[in-house]
Amino acid sequence: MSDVLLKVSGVSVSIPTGQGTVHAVDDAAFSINKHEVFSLIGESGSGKSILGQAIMRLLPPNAVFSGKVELDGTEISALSEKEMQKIRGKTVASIAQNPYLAMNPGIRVGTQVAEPMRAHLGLSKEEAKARTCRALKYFDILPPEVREREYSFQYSGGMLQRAMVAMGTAADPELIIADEPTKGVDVLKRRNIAAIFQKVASDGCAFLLITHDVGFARAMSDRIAVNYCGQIIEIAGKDAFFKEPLHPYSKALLDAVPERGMHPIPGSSPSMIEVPEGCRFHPRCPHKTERCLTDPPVVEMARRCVRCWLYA
Amino acid sequence: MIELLKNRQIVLSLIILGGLIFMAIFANVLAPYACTEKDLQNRLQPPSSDHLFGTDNLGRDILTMVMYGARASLFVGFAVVSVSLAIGVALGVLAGYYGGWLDEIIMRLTDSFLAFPSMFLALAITAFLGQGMKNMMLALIAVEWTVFARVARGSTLDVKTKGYVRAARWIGASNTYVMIKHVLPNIISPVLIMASLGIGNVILAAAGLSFLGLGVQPSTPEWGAMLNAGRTYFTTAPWLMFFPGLFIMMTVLAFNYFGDGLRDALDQKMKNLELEGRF
Amino acid sequence: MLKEYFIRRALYLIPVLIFISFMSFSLIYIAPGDPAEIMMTSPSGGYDEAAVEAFRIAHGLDQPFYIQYLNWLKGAVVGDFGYSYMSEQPVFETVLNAFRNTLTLSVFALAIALVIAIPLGVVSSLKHNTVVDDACRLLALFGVSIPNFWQAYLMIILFSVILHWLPASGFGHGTDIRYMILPATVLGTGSAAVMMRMIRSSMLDVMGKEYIQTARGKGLSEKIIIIRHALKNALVPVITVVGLSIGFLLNGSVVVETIFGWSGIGNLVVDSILSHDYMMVQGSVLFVAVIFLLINFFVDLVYVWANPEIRYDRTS
Repeated sequence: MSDVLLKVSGVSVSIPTGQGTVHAVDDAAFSINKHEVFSLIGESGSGKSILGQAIMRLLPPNAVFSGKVELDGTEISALSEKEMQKIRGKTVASIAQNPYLAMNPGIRVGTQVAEPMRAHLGLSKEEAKARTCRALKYFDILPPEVREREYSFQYSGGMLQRAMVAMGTAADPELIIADEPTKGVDVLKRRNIAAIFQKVASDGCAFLLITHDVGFARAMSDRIAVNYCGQIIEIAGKDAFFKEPLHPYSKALLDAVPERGMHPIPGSSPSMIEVPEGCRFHPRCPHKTERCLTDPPVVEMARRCVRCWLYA
Repeated sequence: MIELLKNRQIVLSLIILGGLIFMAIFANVLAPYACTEKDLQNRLQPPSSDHLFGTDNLGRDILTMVMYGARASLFVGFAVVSVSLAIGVALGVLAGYYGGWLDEIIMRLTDSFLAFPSMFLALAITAFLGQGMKNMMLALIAVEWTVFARVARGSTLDVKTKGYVRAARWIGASNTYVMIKHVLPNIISPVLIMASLGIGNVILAAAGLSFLGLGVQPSTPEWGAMLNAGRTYFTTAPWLMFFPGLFIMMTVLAFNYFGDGLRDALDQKMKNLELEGRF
Repeated sequence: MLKEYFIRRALYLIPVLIFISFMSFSLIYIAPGDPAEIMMTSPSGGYDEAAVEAFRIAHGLDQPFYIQYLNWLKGAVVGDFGYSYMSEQPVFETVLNAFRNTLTLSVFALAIALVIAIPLGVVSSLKHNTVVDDACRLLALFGVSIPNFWQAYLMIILFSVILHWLPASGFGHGTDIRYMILPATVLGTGSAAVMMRMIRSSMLDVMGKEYIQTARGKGLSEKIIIIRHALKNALVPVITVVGLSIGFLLNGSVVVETIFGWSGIGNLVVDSILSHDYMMVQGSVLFVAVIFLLINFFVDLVYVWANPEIRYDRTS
């Protein structure tokens, strides 16, 4: 498979805190093909964002990482920080959740959008500026010559979100990791974000969408991965997944969306510090049996996989 | 309160401060010589086993002088800060609580005092009142009260919006009652922090004035005055200046360290007190 | 709009200026005894009855208090602070000359303070909670706690008496930098400590911001992130401390100039007090207060200007 862009294998991240060690990511394995939109869905606080940070190698300094991340055949998890800097923003870029927090309020938006171009494409100040204006125009930030010189707080929320996308795509990355792009956003804005992302995706950029928003993931993705309590419990093509989710948690998650009657998942999300033995979902699972107390296998099927004893 | 004693910084500074206060109170017992005992045979002696810190130009034992000097410095520090605190907190709470024109007047008055760099205001007041310890203290109070007024006002404004204060006012508690029962206890932490830092500052300023010959008279055992007296001999007998200066620094350091520890321990929010120009 | 803010802040200055002029004027009345007697009392303590009476009439001291104040204020506004009792020079000119020297020394001291404070503050924040950070914080604690008169003598002993590197005191016509190094270092120590603390906490705050993570995500080097994305924002609140530092520097100038024989305003005030030159004391104090007030006003404007968020909020 030469068109694999990102390959994540056996990645675990734990973060020591005052209350104990948070096992944020456990044995994550998946791959994203070139031009593919891949969504990682799950509840807030299930460790999805940490996985994104782990790929970018931007984990908090005290986090403990193990596993392997390959990008375009290069094992980026083994690169030095200096070499990694050449990858970030160039091959893989990230788009943060809250544009007002993610943009530096003390630097003009245009300058910030131009930074990846200057750092990775070796453009001069003038070239970067011209390219920035084109990028802003491409994302409907008008008039670009004026907007380029403004500060983030002079932008409207939607416009700043687009500027963030312009900044993420500034150096033509092959993969964009977008962390919760629709969190706290109303329906209209959500639709706009989907439209811009689709625009970027149609230009050939692959996406890793990290989201709790099942509807958004459905509208955007080619494939879906479901994250529960630090583990990926199911990966499937979008149509197959929404037609027939395999894992009991996936089923519960889909039943919880408004369109399907908003059935809440019984019980509450377990603590990430003291994770349940065996299958992490078993305390809340309607199908649980004895064997669920031991770690379930990842069952590979045609074009999908699931981490559950039911299919073993 | 007990939790504060778990803080290493607070405990350490309290031990140093306790030692200094102990030394000041029992100077007459602890000091190896009598305070005013002159020994003209042994003038300007370097530190030795007889005189650990050496002797001054009149043959007085410097260690003894330093011990008695702690009395003057600590007394000035505590007294000036207590009076300043009383004035400043009273005005600050009134300004913050009532707001309006009263606030305007009190704050403009505070601004006016703050418009003078503190050393110049203190100098001007001592210049016209005349020198001496009492006038020096008055001058320092004139400088110091503004700090408390501003902190008290700011904290009162903050407390005023809190539910319990509004509730107390709704049920018809008198203003005086609300100020004393609800506002004061809740602004006490920032005021205490500023007081600790303030004592250090006052001791430093008092020593400075005495050093210039405008505070305590040079012959009295006071650290600043001792430094002033030692100026003439600073190349030939540096111990005259070294030890009193060292004690000033230690005392101020301990108060600053204590206030700093208190601030960290009591509230993260207090961080903005740094803007008040103190450490 | 920045202009409106400027005007509003300027209007605030008026009551404060009136207050401080009134306080400066009243100084002479807080003195025990009759102002005319105080003014005409020679340093040796004696005074001539007839001269006092003449002085009283000549200076309108027989008139009601508020008339005296208004007359004095009328002069003060146009820079007429009266004449020195000692040198018979106009107070204003003497004060202005002395202040110029203080300004030279203070600017130098401020530069030294910034050169020390910025790198130490940044390093301290980046090495947060390590030995390096502890050492920097301890150094800052010493910096604010050390009595400047004591520090001055320690430095003179080390650099002039023992090492013979720098002159112990003197003015060097105000241009020879060797005469400025010791006094400016002593003067700048306190400010350096306060600024260092401020830069440290400000940097800690900024480095925890999400936009720093965004900048990392763009593949910028840590050096560029610190300088371009963090330090720039972290220094904005430090501007407020610069105003405060001016106060520190002016206060320190009193002792430092006296010790190092620098003919600045601090030295002038102390000399005037010791020689009972009250007009000079009054004039100097008022002058310093007005300058200090204006500097703070100016710093405030710079702060607003340097903070695009505030700057543009007022435009819209």
